[in-house]
Amino acid sequence: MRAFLAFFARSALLLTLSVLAFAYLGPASALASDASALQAELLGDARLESQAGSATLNWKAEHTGGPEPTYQLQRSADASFSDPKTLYTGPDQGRYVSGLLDGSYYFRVRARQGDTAWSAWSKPQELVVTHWPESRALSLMGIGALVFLATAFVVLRGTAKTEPS
Amino acid sequence: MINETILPEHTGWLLLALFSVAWILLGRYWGKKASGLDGYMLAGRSVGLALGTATAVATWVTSNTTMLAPQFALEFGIWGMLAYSTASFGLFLFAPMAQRIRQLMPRGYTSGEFVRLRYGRTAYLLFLLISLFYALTWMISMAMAGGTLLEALSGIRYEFGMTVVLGVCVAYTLFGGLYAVIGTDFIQSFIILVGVVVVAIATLSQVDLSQVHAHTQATRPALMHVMFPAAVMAVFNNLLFGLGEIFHSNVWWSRAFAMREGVGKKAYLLGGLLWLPIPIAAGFIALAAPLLDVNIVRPDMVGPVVAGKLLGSVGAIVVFVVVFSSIASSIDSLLAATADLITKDVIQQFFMPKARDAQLEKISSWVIVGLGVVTWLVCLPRVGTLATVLFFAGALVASTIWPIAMGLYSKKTNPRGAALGMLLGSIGGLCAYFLVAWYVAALVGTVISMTCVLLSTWFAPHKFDWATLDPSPPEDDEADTAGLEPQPTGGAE
Repeated sequence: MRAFLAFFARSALLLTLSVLAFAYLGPASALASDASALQAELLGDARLESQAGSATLNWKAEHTGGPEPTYQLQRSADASFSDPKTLYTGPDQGRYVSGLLDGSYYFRVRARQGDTAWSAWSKPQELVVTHWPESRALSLMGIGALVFLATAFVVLRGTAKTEPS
Repeated sequence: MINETILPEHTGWLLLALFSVAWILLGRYWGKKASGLDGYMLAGRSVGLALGTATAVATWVTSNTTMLAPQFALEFGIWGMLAYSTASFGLFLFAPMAQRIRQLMPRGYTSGEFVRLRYGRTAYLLFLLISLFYALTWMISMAMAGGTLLEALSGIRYEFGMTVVLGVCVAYTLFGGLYAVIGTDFIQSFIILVGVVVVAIATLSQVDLSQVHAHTQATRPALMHVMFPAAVMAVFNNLLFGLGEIFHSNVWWSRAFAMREGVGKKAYLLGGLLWLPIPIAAGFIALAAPLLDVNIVRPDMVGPVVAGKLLGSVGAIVVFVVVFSSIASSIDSLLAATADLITKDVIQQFFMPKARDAQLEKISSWVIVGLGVVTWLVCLPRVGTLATVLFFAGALVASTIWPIAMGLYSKKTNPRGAALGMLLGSIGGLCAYFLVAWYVAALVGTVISMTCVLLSTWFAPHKFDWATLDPSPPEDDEADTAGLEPQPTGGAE
């Protein structure tokens, strides 16, 4: 009988500890499992092109609860991210990049909720910048200047001729 | 998507409520002066220099000045700032044109009326399409800016902010017509100028210019290049877009008609001078963004976000009030001027030619409400950034520059050439918009239109009688208008 009571008491204690452990660790493990499932991705085509050296990047990470994710955006000159530069860490889900010179730029993003571990990096997005030829830009500027001067001439000469003295 | 705001939502709602009530009450107060069609549509044709200058500045300081000028700086660097400020040339050149308009059409109402009398039906229909499309596009971009701004600054949902801004402008324009518009413009221009000066001084006191230069050079090197191709291409495109906007739009023509004789030229010149430094000041703060490590999600929000970051809650409130004022001052002007255009040039011309002034005044009120509803419906989906929405219209308005300028000064300008210029210029500009980039559309549109107007006038000169522009002068006014008779030998030719 004593042995039975001892067995019963040990079982009850084990059960209580198990319930407490589950109650304490359960949500954390569930959160850990959510965090590991969190995956950020850059939206849009895998390859973007720009002739003005600028683009708007957007990203997101699907999540089913918990705090709003924090994101981290990196840029590199090569697809393997051998020399990454962190551009942004925070809650926004986009960034406007501008003033880039000719070349290819690679971007990737990751996310996390609260203080959990960062998710894996997203697939990289490539931005290819090819500025307009300078000759074309200068030609258009020259034409624009001529058209403006001609317009100003029409208005000012017309005014001089028609204005009542 | 922007997740960080710089003002609590309840502060945003409070500011929105305060200024909404203020604009409506002021509009009601000034609107009491409006009597008759001339009073409602043209503020009794008696606007003086102070109000005239203020309305020119306030109307031209749109949300595009405070939001797009910084975007230009962030996208095109130093060239972008300068490119945006060239829009003041539109006001400078329109100054003498305003005098000419008043001289040729002392009883005129709209820019559409001028095109109809000067060039005939074909050009008139084309012009109406362009003008109405532009007015709606501009108004949509303003209302979108209102919603976007409130959301970025305070987290008020875009749909709610946009609805309130638009609703308030419709309400006070409805109450007081152009009197209310010009009266509120006076207060709004004062707020805008003081606000921009405060933000610019505060920015300069907190950010070191050499650091901004060095940091931008390191992180966004193209912005500091003298030969930044896209920026170089954008300079004259923006200037010509500005000319096209002002030359053709009834917003500016209605003010030319509304100002007292001799006031228009001075008011537009002064307005241009006061406007010129505003986009430079607004653009400068955008260049501080990379140094301050401010994350810019939407390029058209760079100005407000940087100002808020630099100046904290007070700065955010100042920016909020300045941009709300600039948006309201443009939307109300557009509502009034576009309602005039639709009432006089569409409804009266095509459907109710014998309508009396009282009927037209009532119709104009309904048109204002209708315009507000249409704008609201188009704004709801929130498509594109401000620049892409507005620059779509650049190709169209640029094609009107030469038909308008030559039509005002040269008797020989050929009506078919003017119509062809607007048609081919618009088509060519739109092709450039889609095939090349938005920052060449206005330039291409202007070049094609200019070529059409000049060649047609060269090969088939017209003989226009200036008196046609003032068809039915009342007998008792003859003595007053004797000195304003069009010059029979005048013209640029």
